Amino acid sequence: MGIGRYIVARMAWAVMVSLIIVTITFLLLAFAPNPSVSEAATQAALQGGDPAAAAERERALRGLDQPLYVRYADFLRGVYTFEWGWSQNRAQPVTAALKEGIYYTAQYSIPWTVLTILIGPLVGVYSAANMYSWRDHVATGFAFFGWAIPNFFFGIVLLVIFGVSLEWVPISYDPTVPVVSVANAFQLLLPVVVLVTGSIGAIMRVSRNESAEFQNAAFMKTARAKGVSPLRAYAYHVMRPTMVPLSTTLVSQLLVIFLGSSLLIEIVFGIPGLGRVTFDALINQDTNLVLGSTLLFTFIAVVGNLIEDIVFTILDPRISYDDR
Amino acid sequence: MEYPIPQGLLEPYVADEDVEGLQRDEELLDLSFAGNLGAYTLTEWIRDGGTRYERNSDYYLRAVGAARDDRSLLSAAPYFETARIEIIPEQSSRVAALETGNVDNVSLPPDRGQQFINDDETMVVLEPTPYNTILSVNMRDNGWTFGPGNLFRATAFRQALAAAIDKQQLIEGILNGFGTEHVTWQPAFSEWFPGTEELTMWGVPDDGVYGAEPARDRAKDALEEIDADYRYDGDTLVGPAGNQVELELYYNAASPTQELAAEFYRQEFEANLGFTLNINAIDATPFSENYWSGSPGEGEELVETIDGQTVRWERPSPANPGPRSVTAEEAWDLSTIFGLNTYPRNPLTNESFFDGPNSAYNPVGYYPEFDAQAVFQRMREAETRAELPMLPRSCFSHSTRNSPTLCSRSARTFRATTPRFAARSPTSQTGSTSPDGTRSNRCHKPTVPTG
Repeated sequence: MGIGRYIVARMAWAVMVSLIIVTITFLLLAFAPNPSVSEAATQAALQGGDPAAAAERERALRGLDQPLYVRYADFLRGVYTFEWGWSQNRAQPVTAALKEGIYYTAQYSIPWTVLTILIGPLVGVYSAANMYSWRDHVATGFAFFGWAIPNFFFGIVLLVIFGVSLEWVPISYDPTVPVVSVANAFQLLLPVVVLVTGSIGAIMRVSRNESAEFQNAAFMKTARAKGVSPLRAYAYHVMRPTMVPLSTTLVSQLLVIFLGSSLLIEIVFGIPGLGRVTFDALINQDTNLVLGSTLLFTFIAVVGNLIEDIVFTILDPRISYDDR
Repeated sequence: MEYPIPQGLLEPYVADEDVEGLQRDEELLDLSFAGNLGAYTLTEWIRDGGTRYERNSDYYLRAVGAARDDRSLLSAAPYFETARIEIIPEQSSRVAALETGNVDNVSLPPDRGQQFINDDETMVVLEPTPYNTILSVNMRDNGWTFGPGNLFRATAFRQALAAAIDKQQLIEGILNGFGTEHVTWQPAFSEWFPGTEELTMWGVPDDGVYGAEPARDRAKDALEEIDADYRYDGDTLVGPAGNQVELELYYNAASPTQELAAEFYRQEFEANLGFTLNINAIDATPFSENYWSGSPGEGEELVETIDGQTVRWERPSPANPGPRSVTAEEAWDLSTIFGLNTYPRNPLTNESFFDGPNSAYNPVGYYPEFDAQAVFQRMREAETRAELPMLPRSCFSHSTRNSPTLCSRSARTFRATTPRFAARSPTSQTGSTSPDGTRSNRCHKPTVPTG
């Protein structure tokens, strides 16, 4: 099939995948006990009322007394019309809660992603070009340090040094600061540094190993013989084939650590982002918001994988979808 | 949080049974219905990010201050132009924010209390709290998971447990000295506190009963009260099969203090009572749902004969689902997760806990061994305040002897603030501080308003 048909097929599969994941999540939450029902019963008992009646009333108000298939059908209808319900925990629509979370998360995740994509492969190729030299060891040591140290611990340490001792950056995140401002840049500096150092390790090592394979390839010898500068030789001739397998690592790395890292960093630095929204929803059993977050991350993952596949074929013209 | 809401605001939703509408009413969400009742008006609410307030120049207490000489300070209240509450989840970041001056008011953990007390630039306020910290024991049928019988049901064994824990060392070592021993349901600052003369000071080495010998003596008394063959093999408490007794304790996974306390309890019980404790971290919500609360019983399940009297659970609830035979899904032995309100201002409210086996709140299956219902009935019937003091005091003396839960300590919450604000305006501490200290406050004070 041509690439057009391949993309359409992949998107249809993406919809199916999201449906499966959301269904599983819905079922897991549906069978989990709901604290509001027991709270209603307890309240009624303390006030001299009928706890059983209060529990039944609470179930009726929340629609929990309806058959599972009815609740599921209502839920699916809401999902595809973007009526994702009301977040009990945050007292606002789920879509509004997710938008607010994305608004704050994007402020650090976009620079984090851009810097990771830029710095990781460059450091890896540089390390490969100076393999086994002290430059290689320093770069590798730096990459492994960032990979090994827990993000939340590193964040706290940096906060103590640069926030408390040196007072170069604020301790607490101020969400009212304008997005494009020096103050916002300062307060996001440490979270971005922590996340970048944590994510470039694996990318750097993969790019180093992959690019090392091509250094002595025939096309590189030809390039050197033709007088191509080392910079162009590495940036164009080596980097491109390196990015083919690296794109897989890049996308999977960034998706896998998106929620985990963002939650820990958001807690340490007090950023009211998507990670905290999702975590608080889970802890408080805010069903609608948990499902909304799950759907959002499902779409992110599916679209991310689709982008990865498309990038794959652009980077490597040898890959064809004609025979699929 | 509970607060009064104007009836007129609720009526349309009640009439239409419009739950969704009630949940989404803007006036209820941003408390704008409060009008001039608050010193500050909410201007911005960033979920998980905090709240912003501006001065309410129509604050109703200004009129009180203008009319009364003894309240004259209120005539120009409030004294700050703006106020801000920030959400800083990470405890070390919260304290660091106070150190750097990013915030002016914060709840402190016990291990940082002394540092700020010694700091001249910070004022630390120790606030007594009505909440106790207790070690609950499960007297229901799903308690005492080790084997046959349930030693927790024996008053003497509960006293043994209380005598085995050194409260003073716990307070010094884990709370850095910021707490008081708690041997009865009422804190010492309460008007209804029975006084130490009437109390046995369980777990207080200096003035009371503590140590391996007194603890084991009481434990041995308890062993004779139950049918199963538990005994002491030297210093080790063993069950019918000859194995050392091993129990399960659950603590809040989010609380380092509870984790330390749980470890301490394990050491004390092993040393003083000869049984081992497996400590388990668990989040409060699943513990509440699966261990603490039970599905209410039905029919004949709700009737039991206790001390020759028939007791019926008229209104079973998850907090007291029925007799001891009606249990939660999961078994457990001991727990430190929930502290309870001692209601020091209104002791009658404690009837929820003590008013008989079928009281409103009794997850642990406690059957009072004194006539608590009669005491509370007399409290309810008291016609003058003068009649009250002796009644709750007698109740709480009994609670010490019976030890339904092991009251370990009455912790204090810390609020540290920069003294410059406190010095200029004693009422400058706006905002609220939750018991887990997840909020810190900032007050902005460019000028004192003259209007």
